[in-house]
Amino acid sequence: MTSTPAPGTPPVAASPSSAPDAEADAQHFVDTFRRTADQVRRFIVGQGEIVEHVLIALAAGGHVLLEGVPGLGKTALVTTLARAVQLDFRRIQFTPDLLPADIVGSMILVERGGEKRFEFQKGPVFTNLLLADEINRATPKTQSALLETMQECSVTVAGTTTHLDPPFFVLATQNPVESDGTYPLPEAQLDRFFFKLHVPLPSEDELSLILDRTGGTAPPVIEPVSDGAALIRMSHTLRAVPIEASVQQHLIRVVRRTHPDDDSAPDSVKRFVRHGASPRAAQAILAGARAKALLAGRFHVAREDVDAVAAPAMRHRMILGFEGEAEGVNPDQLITDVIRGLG
Amino acid sequence: MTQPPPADARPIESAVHAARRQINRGVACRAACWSALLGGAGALAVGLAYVSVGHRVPPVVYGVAAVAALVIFLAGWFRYRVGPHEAAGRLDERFGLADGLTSARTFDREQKRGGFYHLQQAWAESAASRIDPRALRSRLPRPLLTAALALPLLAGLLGFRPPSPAVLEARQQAAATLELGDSLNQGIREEVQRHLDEAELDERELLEPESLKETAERLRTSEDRADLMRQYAAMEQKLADLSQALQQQRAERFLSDAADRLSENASTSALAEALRQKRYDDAAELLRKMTPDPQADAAAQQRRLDPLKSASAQLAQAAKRFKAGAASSGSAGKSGGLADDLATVSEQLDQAARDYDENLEKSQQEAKQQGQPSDRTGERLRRSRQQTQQATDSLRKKLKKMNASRKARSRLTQMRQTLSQCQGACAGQNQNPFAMPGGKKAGSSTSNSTSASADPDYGRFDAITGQKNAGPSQTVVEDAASGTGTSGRRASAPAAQHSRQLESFVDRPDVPEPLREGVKTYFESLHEAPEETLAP
Repeated sequence: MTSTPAPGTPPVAASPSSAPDAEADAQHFVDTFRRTADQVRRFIVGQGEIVEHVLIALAAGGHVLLEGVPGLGKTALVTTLARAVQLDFRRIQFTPDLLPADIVGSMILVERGGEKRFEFQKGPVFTNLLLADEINRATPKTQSALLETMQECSVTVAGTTTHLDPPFFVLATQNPVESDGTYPLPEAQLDRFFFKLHVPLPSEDELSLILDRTGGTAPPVIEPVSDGAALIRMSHTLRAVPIEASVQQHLIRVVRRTHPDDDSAPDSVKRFVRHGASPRAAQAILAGARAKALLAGRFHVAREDVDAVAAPAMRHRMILGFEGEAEGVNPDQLITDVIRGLG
Repeated sequence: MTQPPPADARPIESAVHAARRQINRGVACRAACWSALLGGAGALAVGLAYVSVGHRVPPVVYGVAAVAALVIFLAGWFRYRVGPHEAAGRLDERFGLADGLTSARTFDREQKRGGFYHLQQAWAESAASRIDPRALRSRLPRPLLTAALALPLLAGLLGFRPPSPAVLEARQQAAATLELGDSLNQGIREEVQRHLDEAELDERELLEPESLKETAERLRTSEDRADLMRQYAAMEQKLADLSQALQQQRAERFLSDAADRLSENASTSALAEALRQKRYDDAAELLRKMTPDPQADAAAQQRRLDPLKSASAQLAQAAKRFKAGAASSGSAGKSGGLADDLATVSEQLDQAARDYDENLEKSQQEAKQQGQPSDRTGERLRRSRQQTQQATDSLRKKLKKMNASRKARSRLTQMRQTLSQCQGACAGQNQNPFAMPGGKKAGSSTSNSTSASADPDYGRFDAITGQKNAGPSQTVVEDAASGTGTSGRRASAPAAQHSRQLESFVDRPDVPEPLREGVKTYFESLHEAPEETLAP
């Protein structure tokens, strides 16, 4: 198995060692974030928290799973975002007959200069921003084709590993698993999503505004306000935001308490949860909390930041037991119990 | 209204320390209130318990409550006081600083500098300079404050309540009982010592002086009259046991029978009288005068031997009859050790006296015929004289021992009577037997006097019914072991009850018929024995 270096990889920005650099990075983070959010909100009505969390995930270099019934603007959100951040954008409509090769690419026989040989033809996954629309309509085999891509940002076909150009984000949408013709995502796949966001129904006012914006002859124009390098810089800025030991301990306890075999876990967790959140959840919470802190104008992570991103980071990582599934327990309620128990 | 804190080079630490002082002051106030409340409540509860039974609240209750309150205060203080880290957390929480001060202090302590740490420090210092830690001041809840003041006050007021008259009287009675116990114990010890001092040597041995003194020394006073009575009953029981061990009724009966026989002869009438009157010391002295004197001439020896021979013969007769009676009743050698010894020694004395008499006569005859007795006869005479002397001495010793035993029993009886009086004094039936004349001072009595008007029958002698010894006994009897049952001391009882008891003693259906027959045969043999003995 061979590995090829990712072409066009930008140099990794060093952690700011001086206060002015750090202040500049923080300011860049906040400005870029707000400008991008403003552009998205020009088209997307409401969904403020969804937009914020999607942008946090992008800033942290994470993938997002958007769940909601059809027609709530999930795809529109992603396409709008792609235009705003000026990234290469591809869309894959997942269907039951979609094959892994349709996503990652395949080796094809080509003739060049009279010589025939196999060449790797890149699939749609080779992009910066991939919209995996209705991901749970594909079979598990096809869904798992994204596993390596999402975690390693690389694709291995026929023993050859090819890296993707950074940044690489997967924004997947899925219908609720109760819908017909859906295949629940495997736990390993779910764990690779930074956030799982529930897209709510718009309110009456929001629906009215949606109709006004989309029903006219001149749809809103989305201007590019960011790019891949800016997102990478944002990602590095996040990693420099400090977290105090007791706050980090709070984060750890939040994750630990989602495990039913933990002594401090609340009764509801012990009763309904089969497996708690993974260490990836702790990483996602930390990155999300850092973004929240910067957006709040602070330079340190607080408990309230941890609590704010705990639900989107852990709700898809908590595997309910039989009793939890049977009673239709909402993982968000369990996470609320977990946080409430910590005072 | 909050005022900005004074400018400080380290506004975070300044704010944290000010907050810590503020919080800990509140903790101290709360701990003080709770300790006062709990200590006061405890003292009040215990005080009410004392007052409800009529007692005055003892000062130690307040001392214990104060110590408990102090412990509660210290425990509360050490448990709830806050350090700088917690104080920073409280400030963060109170002023919405989102763990800002806590984080800044931690980063500073960990020497984390530059970059975001610098920005965070600046941010926290800016926030700290805008807040006023005095806003953390907490007011004590009014109910807590009121209870913390009221309960100790009420408990303290309860301490001024005097004890009830009943309790005062009970205390006086307890003090009087203690005093009485002291007096009685001291008196008993002196009485025991006096008896031991007065007793002769052989009498002292029988009284077991060390055990007796130890028992007297172990007596202790008590506020409980029943406890005192139990002690005295126990000691009395011990004396009764000791007296029982000195029982010599069979020996006295034997000597009385011997006295009857000795009175028939004029030469032994003095000895008979001494034995009949149980003057065993005198009897022993009379026997000493009958003891053979080897220095005297043959005639003088014969004069001394005649009464001894007569006395020993009578004693031997009495011994034979005693042994016959003992054999018929099946009690020979069982319990009458001294009586058996006396009988045996009497027989030995009789035999020795007869041998001595025979040898003396033979010696006199040989002296008449040959001028002097032969060596063989002289040797026999000397040996028989020695045996007679030894038998006489042995009998004298037995008699002296009987005399000592008799005196010892007498002393034991006196001491038991004293203890009986002590128990009576405890029961309020008689005066302290050791009390000196003069009585108590006026007003120092243990019971409240009752006025004439309080008793409706006061002065109405016609209302008094009953007659002496007609009612139930008033004696309170405490058993030595368990406090129940009866002691060996006689209690005054109605005459009718006595008569019934006596009748039951005489005619007891629970005594087996063979045993009754045996007793009957024994008494008949006592009457018949002299005739049989004297017949030949």
